[in-house]
Amino acid sequence: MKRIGVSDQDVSARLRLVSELNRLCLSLKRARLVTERAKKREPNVRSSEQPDKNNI
Amino acid sequence: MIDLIDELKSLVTKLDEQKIEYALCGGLALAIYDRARATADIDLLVLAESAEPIFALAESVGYTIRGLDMDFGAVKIRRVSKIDRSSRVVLTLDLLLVTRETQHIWDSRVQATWEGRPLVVVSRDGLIALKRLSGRPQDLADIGALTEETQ
Repeated sequence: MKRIGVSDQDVSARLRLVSELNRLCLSLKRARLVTERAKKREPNVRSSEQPDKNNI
Repeated sequence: MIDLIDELKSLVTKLDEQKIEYALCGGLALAIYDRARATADIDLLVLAESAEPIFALAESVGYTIRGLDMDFGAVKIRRVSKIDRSSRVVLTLDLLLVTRETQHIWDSRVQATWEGRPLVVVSRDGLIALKRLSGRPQDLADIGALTEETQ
């Protein structure tokens, strides 16, 4: 079997880079999810603020 | 959080222990050829008769959710996944079975060294050929990146 022509250090570094990219992608997905949930919650938040306003 | 590279290390160690041949392909092979992108899959090109022994081995490290068999002509995929409960991340192990059309890709696999241990990978040309056979938008983008570097 032929050798790949990429050093051990480069193989390790490039695979580690995939791990980092995966972490970043996951963080982005979670941030997007939090934003979407916050948008959905917004009407409820406003309605719960209503009684306070009435009290003033 | 579950780490794809740790998972790869664990699987490759077990494959070596049991002397089961494989060739890394897909997004992780692409990264080795210096075109890293995020990927949630470990893709291995394997002989058809190795699929069941690999599933047994994968089960021992938590890959218990079997997907449906996928046959796209020359590309035949057998899938098994695991879910990391803490992060709710799904990790997938795709076994691409060697077929008549992919035999030359199997024959031209190459050996890398990864942290002192052997790691068998499809060749750059083999990876391009495999992605051409798969033909999904991501594969076509990957071919673009791989051929761009050789030009």
